[in-house]
Amino acid sequence: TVRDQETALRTSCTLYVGNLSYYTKEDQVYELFGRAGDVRRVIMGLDRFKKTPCGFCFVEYYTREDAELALQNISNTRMDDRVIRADWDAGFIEGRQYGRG
Amino acid sequence: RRRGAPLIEDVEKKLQGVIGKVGENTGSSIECNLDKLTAFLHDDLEKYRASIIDIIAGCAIYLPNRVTVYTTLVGLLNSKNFNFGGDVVEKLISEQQDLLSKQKYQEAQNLAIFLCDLGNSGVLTAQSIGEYLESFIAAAFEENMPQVRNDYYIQTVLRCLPWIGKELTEKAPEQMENIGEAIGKYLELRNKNHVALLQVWREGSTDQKQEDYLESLSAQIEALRNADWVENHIPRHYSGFETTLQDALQHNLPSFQSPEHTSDMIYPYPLVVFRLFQDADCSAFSSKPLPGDSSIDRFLFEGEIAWIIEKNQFNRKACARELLAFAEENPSVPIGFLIFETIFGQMLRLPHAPYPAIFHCSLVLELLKLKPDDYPQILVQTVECIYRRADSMQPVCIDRMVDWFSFHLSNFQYRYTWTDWKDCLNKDAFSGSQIFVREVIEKCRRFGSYEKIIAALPQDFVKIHPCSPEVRYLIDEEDTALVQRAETFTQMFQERQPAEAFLNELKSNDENDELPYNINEFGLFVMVMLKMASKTYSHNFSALFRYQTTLKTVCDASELYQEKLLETLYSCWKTNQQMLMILTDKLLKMQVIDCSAVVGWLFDEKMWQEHDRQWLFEVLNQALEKLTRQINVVEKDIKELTEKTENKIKEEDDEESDIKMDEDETKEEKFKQDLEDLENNKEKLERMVTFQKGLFNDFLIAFIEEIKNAATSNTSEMDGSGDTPGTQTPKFMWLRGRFCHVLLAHAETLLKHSSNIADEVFSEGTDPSIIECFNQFQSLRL
Repeated sequence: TVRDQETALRTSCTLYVGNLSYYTKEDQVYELFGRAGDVRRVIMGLDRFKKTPCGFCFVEYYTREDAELALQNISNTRMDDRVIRADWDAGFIEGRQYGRG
Repeated sequence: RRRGAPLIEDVEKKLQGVIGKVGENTGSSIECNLDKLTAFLHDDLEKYRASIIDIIAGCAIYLPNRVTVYTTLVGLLNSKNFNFGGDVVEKLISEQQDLLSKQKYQEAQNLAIFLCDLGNSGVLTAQSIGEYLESFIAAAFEENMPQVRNDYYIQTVLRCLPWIGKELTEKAPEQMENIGEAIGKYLELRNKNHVALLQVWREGSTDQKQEDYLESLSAQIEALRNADWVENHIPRHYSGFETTLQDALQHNLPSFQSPEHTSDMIYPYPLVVFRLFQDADCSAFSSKPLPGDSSIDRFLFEGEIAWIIEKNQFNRKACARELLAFAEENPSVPIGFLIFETIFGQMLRLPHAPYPAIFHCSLVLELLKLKPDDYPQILVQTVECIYRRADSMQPVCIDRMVDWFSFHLSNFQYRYTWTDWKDCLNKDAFSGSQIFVREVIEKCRRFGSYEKIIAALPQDFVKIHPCSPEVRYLIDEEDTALVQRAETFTQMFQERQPAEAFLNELKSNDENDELPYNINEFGLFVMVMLKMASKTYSHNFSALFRYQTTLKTVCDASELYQEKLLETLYSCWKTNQQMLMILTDKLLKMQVIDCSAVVGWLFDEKMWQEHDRQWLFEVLNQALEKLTRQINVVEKDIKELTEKTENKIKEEDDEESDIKMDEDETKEEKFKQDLEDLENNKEKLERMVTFQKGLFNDFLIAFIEEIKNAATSNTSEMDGSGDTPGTQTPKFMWLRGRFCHVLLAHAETLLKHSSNIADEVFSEGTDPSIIECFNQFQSLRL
């Protein structure tokens, strides 16, 4: 429901990060987002068919505070020459890594 | 903030409107706004008294850069309504006590300044303010108190004086005299051991001012006093209302009551002044003179910039905007330089920076974006100042600059005038400047890619190029048996055999073997696994989780396996420090290895060759920090359970206990459970603390041994540089600096049991300068 979704967003430790370069690799995401705190995992968004990176990823932290810090300070900075944008995500569910085909 | 009657929100808005309009040249002046606001508030003063007082108190605490605006407002309201002024003062005093009991020292200090400034707006008598400040001095002279506590009270008085000094000199000369004398005496008697440890640059190695903050502040106040308190900084809004304010009835400020000191109170660490720029640094860019590095103006500007940052620490864009507005309010001073000086001073503050590093990093980017014509040049100047003094910079400060600058360059395609830094290539591998450049390149590699950073560097930097960060899979091809085993493991991984299958495969066949698993085969198993999972972190993590049972079962059987695991990890990922860090961290979190294995590994003689690298100390500090956090969690649990059970016992004493019902019985059971948990937690805490102490001791002993080795080895044989005593070499200086870094990084833990540590880790052969570092460290919490 909408309310569940809102609660999930308010308590989430996961960020959706968009506008990545297709060439950006997982370890670069770790390096950048690791600057805001302990990263639990990074899930790279993949093209549904080609299984290649397609410009977004999820970054999950251990704590909400670290995720907030990343949102405040890393969103709208550059990675691989692209201004990346982060936003709250309700939490990663298997299958969501596949973007538009 | 309160929400309630609609008017309150209006009042809030009105107040915020005033704040917003301050400093704006367009529209009405601040004086005019204050007039209107006073009239507006006065009409409804009785109706919304409590809320208005709350809001004013909030502004006094959290908007210290607008002190004089609000003291003027209170003055104007007081002149119309005497009781209102008294109520505000009373509220502020009780807020101050409350803040001190919550250990919010900065905020409590803001209130002291505010209260003193009420003496300028006709609310309080100068005489009583003099007495108020004298009571702070008296608190600082109480016997058997920690110096950091006394420092805080003295600092508070000194910080108040720019606002009220003139008034006191004129109207309460006796108190002013006493205060000045007492501060002089206090500073004379004060221990200053800690100063060298908190300096960004090694003592005597630079012309930068980096004296003790309190001493410096006191000297500035003295100079200000000699100049008859004339400064060019504080916007004294009340002077426009002099005729109104001078007729107002004044209140007496009661003396300050210092809250009782208890052993668990933690006061702010002592500070050291940070000055980056001298006039020559900015004269090329700006014709405006920089205020002298020990002038009160420089100090007040720094304070104001720090307030703006504090207020906007969660919003980098607003922070940059407000800083810029502040610069525009002060066109005759090169504020840009002072903004960068203050930001870098905060980034480099020891033992800890006041904000997360990533905030400072993104704030710098915002500033450049807002002022692309001037600020990039100031930043270049900043980086130059830091690079030029890198050889004498403390290692922990170099680390912080590396982290910032690599992030910064990743936003600018790694473009920099790298050739300007060619001189570091010929320096010692342990020299600060070479380490700085080398580590910046390494971290840029992680942000971008190996190819990108190599392409950005000039040719001759090849000497300090990072290695290609690929996995290394070293197997002796001649050893057919080994190759065979490796193939077996590879096949088992491909078949996704369960964790147990590997355990069986690793069991030792040798009956003479005291260990249950074949240790070399275990190493091989780990190597094959790391090789197969080498593609990404996700691959690595899923391999670790899939074979967690294998790894954990083997590693639980003996420390030797943990050592083997870490050694293998190192040999595979030697050239990829990020991988080493992240995988070590994961293994710790999965409890496959423990903290002492990691520390033992990092400080083994075999790893000394890596001690000029940043990653090793990052891994070390992370591992130790993790342990501390676990201990803090248990401590918190104990505190909660103690409170819970104590309350219960109290409740029972209050109740009449002869009637028992079912409900009581379940309660009773719950209580028993809590008591049991409490006991268990206490035991657990004791075990953990003992473990932690042992760990710190072991590792400090190992580190001291290494440093001793560096001090006594003669370099002249190796590099022909002549007879440099070991203790003068860059290597020794660097390692000693790392020793200080580790102490500072874990100050809170180490200071708790530092007296024992000294007895246990120092021996006759310990280098005297290491003991000196330790003594400096201990005086941090005197």
